[in-house]
Amino acid sequence: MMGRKKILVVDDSSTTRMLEQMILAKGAYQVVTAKDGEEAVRKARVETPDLILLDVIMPRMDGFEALRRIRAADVKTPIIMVTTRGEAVNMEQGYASGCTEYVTKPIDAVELLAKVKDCLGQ
Amino acid sequence: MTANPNAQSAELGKALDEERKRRAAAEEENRKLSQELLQAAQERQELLNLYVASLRLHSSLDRADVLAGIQEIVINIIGSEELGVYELSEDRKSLRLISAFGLENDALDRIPLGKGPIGQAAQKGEAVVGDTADDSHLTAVVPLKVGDDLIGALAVFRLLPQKGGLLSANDRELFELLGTHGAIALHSSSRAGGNGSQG
Repeated sequence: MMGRKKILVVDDSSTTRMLEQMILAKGAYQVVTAKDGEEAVRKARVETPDLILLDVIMPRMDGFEALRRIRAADVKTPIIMVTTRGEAVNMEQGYASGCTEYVTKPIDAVELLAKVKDCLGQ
Repeated sequence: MTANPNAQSAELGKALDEERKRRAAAEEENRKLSQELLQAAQERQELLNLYVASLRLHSSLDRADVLAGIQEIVINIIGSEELGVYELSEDRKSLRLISAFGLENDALDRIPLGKGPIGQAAQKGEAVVGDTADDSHLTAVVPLKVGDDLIGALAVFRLLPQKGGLLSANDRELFELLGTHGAIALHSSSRAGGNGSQG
């Protein structure tokens, strides 16, 4: 039997972490969390998740910088940006920094789960 | 015995018609099922939003954390990055801004009760959502009440662009939740002496 896929949820808002965890529970994923960009960069290496959900606006290190550092460390894990930043310029910045998908808040659970499954090849 | 070609053709036509009807019925059934699935997913999302918001509001007795929770709910679940949380002054004559996100207007720091859309909605104790008839990009004013007792107000301004200026039924339920449960959480944290006031 294959192990559950591990997803790293990164957001400084505990409300969003809770919401994403509950949405992902429907897909029976194993979830680990991080509260800012620095923790995300560390856990992307240590936890070796199958997928990362990454917020943009966070203290200490924002999501774009975390994304650049994760990619610079040659971590090829698919990354979905999940953010309030819905302008085209932000999306372009996300894709240019190496994200796989871009989802705007407020989170649509159906959309998020579909993108998660797509990124995990399910 | 030779089959009658006309009769065979008529039978074939009838069978094709029935097959078309069966297919149309199946497609209609699929469409209805898809709609029901979407509706169920929507309802699940709405319940999840309310559940998470409620859990977040009541997860702490620390006043700063409760205020952070109110901000997080408005920003991440409702979808606005311009909001202010007000507390009713001790003399009950004005509203004092105790927590804000994305607000630059100093005039909003203290509002006399009954003045302007925020002061009026608070004084009446009735939420005004989506119809504030005001040019300040105000989207909603939600009085914070513990029972019938007014303790403050929540003012939400511009919505995120991706909301398209629209509030959903779930957004309105979330405002209602913030007006009651947000107020109770804030009141409880103040009574518990959690971290004093901000601003």
